Amino acid sequence: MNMKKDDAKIFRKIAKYEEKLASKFPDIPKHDLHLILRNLLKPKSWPKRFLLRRLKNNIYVP
Amino acid sequence: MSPDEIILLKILKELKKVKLEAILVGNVACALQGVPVMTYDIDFFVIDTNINRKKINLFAKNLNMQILKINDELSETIRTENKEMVVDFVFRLGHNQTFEKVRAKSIKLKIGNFYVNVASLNDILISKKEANRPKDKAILKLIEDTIKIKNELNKK
Repeated sequence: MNMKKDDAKIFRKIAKYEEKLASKFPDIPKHDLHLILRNLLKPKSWPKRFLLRRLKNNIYVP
Repeated sequence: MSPDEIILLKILKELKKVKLEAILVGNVACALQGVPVMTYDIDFFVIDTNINRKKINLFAKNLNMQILKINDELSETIRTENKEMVVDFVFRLGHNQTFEKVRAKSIKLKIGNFYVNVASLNDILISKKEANRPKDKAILKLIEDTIKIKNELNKK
């Protein structure tokens, strides 16, 4: 897999916090915890995605 | 810059052009502050005045958007849309959430070369709790969880 070194560093940081905070906040599902941490720790240069688009068949996609 | 940021930037440029002061609220405001949500529309909180309603008209005209509910003086939301985007202007958030109070607690985020006032997660949480619609209820816990994690990260 081709991943930039900087990106790999961010993912390691996310994983580190995920491990640390999972036990402190057991009520937060691990899947959500990962996404929250990813959003909060990602560098400004990473693209921000927040809009869905509606396809003709009424299916919403990012 | 992502396609979503490009759309938001286009909106911010137009808001500046028509001199409409607006605070970003709703799910886009949540997403920009770390809550893992996506949405179909972009919501802005504005003060309900005749001048602002005219500015919203001009905003929509300049971006070739259709205006819904604009003739209803009692309406608390004006929806503007074209094939590319849906932008809602809301005149009321939760009870006791005045524009000035929400602005005082808002944060400034940079999108491209523009800054946007974004309502705090706490204010969004209050407004969504009061709105009490199923779509709002569905993300309450995600907002609360994000606030908890944010506070935890800020401690370090």
